[in-house]
Amino acid sequence: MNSTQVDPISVKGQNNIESFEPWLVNKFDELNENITESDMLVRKLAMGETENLHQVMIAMEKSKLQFSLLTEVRNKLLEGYQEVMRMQI
Amino acid sequence: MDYFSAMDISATGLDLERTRLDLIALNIANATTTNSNPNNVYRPLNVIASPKAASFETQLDGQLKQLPYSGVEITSIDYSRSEPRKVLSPGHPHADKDGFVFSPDINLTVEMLDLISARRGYEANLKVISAAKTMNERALEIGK
Repeated sequence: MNSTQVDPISVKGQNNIESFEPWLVNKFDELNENITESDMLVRKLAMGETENLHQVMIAMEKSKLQFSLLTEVRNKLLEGYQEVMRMQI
Repeated sequence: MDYFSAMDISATGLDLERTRLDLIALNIANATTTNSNPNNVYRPLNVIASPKAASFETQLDGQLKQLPYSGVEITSIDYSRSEPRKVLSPGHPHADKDGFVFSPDINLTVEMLDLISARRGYEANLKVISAAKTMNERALEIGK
């Protein structure tokens, strides 16, 4: 690996490399918003205020996909952490 | 252009086909209505759609990589210009002084064909959505 391409987490605030943490937090916020929106759409559907069924389904599908993506990111992070913890000192 | 763009585009297609279905339902439901005045007869409705241009913001954002359109857009729902049908039926309560009754110029066969096309169009858009979904899900399997 090139020395300038070190892990962004370790150079937080340095070298103008955007750190990973705000990205993750931002994505989680986005996911939360999406889930809230899907929830609202389902409520509307239950109350008979929905114009189109497909909008509800697409919103739910989007939240589901985004959730899987973030779960995958979390799994990778944990994997890396565990790998480090297993290191012999 | 994010990984949801195919879904968003197809969603606009679904909206359009749903609207077409609604209009066909209206046309078929009103096919047998009558009136004594040709100007008051139910007039068939048509949906007019055109490509939906991407917003200026997204065009600026992605510059050249961006798609020029972000889906399809219903520009208007308009009345058909076809003349009402004139049927001689002197005993009809809606007959005018010459015994003619006016009814909308709706051809059930044409409406049925439109119905099939709207349904198939809806299905085609759904196929795109499910393909986009499968592709995203498969991408998440990388590294598993």
